[in-house]
Formats: sequence, structure tokens, C-alpha cells
Amino acid sequence: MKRVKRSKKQDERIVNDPFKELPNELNEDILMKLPPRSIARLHFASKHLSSIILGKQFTERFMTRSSAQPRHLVIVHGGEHYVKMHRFHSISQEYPHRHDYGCEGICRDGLPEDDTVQEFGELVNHSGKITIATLGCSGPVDLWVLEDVNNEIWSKSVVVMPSVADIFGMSYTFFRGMLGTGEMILKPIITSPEPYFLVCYNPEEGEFRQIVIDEIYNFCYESNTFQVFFDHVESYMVL
Amino acid sequence: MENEKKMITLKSSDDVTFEVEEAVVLESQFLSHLVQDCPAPEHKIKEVTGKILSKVVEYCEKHVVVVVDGGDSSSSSGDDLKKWDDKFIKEMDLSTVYDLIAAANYLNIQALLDLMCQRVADVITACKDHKEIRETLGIVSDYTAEEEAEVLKENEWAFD
Repeated sequence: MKRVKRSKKQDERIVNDPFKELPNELNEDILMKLPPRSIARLHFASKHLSSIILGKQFTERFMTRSSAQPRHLVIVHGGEHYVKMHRFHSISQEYPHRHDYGCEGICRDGLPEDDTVQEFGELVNHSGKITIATLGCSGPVDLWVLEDVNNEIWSKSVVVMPSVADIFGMSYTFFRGMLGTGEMILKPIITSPEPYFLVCYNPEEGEFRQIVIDEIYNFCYESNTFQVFFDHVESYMVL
Repeated sequence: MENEKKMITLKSSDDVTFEVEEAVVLESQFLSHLVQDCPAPEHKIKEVTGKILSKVVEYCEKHVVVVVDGGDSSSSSGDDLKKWDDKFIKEMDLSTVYDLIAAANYLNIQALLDLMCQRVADVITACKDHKEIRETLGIVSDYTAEEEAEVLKENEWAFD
């Protein structure tokens, strides 16, 4: 361990800037426990702090952790024809892990001339590969994965999930996206369930979990629309 | 059983001595190695004052009991320990917290280091703006008035 420099006049010392007394490694330990907004405020407190916060070492440490803990970002647009209000809400995802599915389908050149894929397919990032996902009416999810960009070779996997209707009492869902963890996000077709929720399916465990967005309920006016972004990474970006 | 407990004496930079059980010393990775490598009955810790070492010993004694008597229902549970930790840090001024961060780092006691860093972080999080942070932590701004105005203007989002 590094030896810490200490003030000789231990007892006469008044409370001083801790960030000047402690080595940078420990300063970063403290910063890592702060929410992004507080980090931004510290940046305005002194140039010395600003240099630590904008430094390569801390930036990398913070971003590495954020990337491992992606969140959902929900934005609410209020008003009819204009954006009356933005509301940001981050929800942490609890089980970050990665996995692959076995390829169950056949590989072929190009995408099939299928209306479902062409029109209703959702572009997602599946283990770093461009993928088009389609969900039939309560049916399985088809994943068309672009295996080879140059030769346009796609593989098809099928993920069969238990009936959403039985579990959550909703008959139809939209396929809304896919997380870096391989989990799939489904959105109920009903416009404003109370409280608002999304369903997350983990194909590896074969289990659903409900993501309830409590605060959004207060903004559930008919004219409001929601946007949900996945794998949102927190940042304390300051200029 | 009781009389088999090995006692070790720790001596601070200002020659305050603390007699503790070996198990307490093992909470610190630095002291564990020191005790193993050099089996003297007394160890001088030049980097830590008596005031701070007494806090370190208090913390380690509290935490070591929980580990040793983990299966015993009468010993401190996780909740009790957390309450104890809360009380421990609330009675401390910030200057002591900084000294304990340095000491916990030097002695390599990760849980104590985390607890103390969290305390500073909580104090900062409770501040509503950068001015309050400066006052609370005694930070002297080295921005000029112009520089400060500019950096604040560029980052208005942080203030809503």
C-alpha cells in the first residue's frame, strides 16, 4: 500500500481540503461513491478537484463501472404537439451478465422476403452483432443475426418464451429491445397500465421479471408519450 | 480456551500503547503480515497517532467479534453492526474521518476505508451546490471569478 503523507502539525490543523491531503487513489475512492451530479458540483469547487475529475484515470474508472451497470432511461414527453416536460428516470438493472444462444435456425444468404421481418423487425444489438428481432402475436421471438457483414450471412435463432398473458394478464406485447445482458424487453400494448411497467425476459433462465416504473404513473396523462432507452450509461460529463 | 488468546501490543507514533487480541490485528492486512513476519510482542506504527489508532482498534474489535461468533445468535447481527457503524461515524468530525481514511489505507482495512470514504461522500452529496461543498469541506477555490463564471455557464444542467 502507498504510504500517505501526513501533516506534522496534526493537532493544530483545522479541517482542510481532504482532496489535497489524501493521495489521488483515495480521492477517487471517495468520488466513486458520489452520484454524477455531486461529482459535477465538486468540479466547480476548485481547479484541483476539476483536474482529478477530468483526469484520464478517474474518467476510465468511472466509465468502466457505469458500463458494467447499465440502466434504463425513461423520458416522458408531455403536451400535445410540443415537448412540455422531460422527465428522466434511471432504473438500475440488477443482473448484468452476458451469454449466447445456440443457433437453432438455418443460415442463409440475405434476409427473407418476409413482411414481418421487413416491417415489424426491431433493430437490436445482440452480443455486439446487428440483429433484427421480431415477435409474432404472443409467439416466439425470431432473432436474425448478421453473422458476416461482407457476405450478408444471417443466422436465425428462435427464442420461445412462456405465455406473457398468463403471468401479467396482458394478451399482446411489443418487442421493444434487447439489453447488453441478452435479456429482452417487452412492452404491453395497453397504453397506460397502472403502474406503468415493462417486462424483461431472460432467455437463459427462462424467467420474466417486471420492471415497474413508479414515478411515471404521476405523469400518465393521455397526451403524454414515453421513450425508453436501454443500456443507458451514467456519466458526470462536465465541460 | 480463553487463556490461549494471543495478545499483541500496538504502539502509536506518539507512544500510546494498545493491547489487543491477535484476531483484532488480523482485520488489518498490513498488521497481519507484520505480525507473521516479525513475531515481536510489540509493534510500533509510526504512521498513525494514538487518537486515530484508538478509533481503528475500536472499529476492529467491534467487527472481529461478529466474524468469530458468526453462528452465535447472541452476537451482533448485520443490522446491529450497521447501527454501530452509523453511530461510530456520526460522532466523528471530518478531520478525524480524513485521518482514518489515511490510516485505513495504510493499515489496509478495506471495510473501514469504505465506511470512511462513504461518510465523506454522504457529506458532499448533502450539499446543494459547489459553494456549500467548499464551506463544508474547507476547500479554497483556485478559480478566478471569470473562470468560475465561465465554467458554471457551460454546465448549467448540473444546477436545476
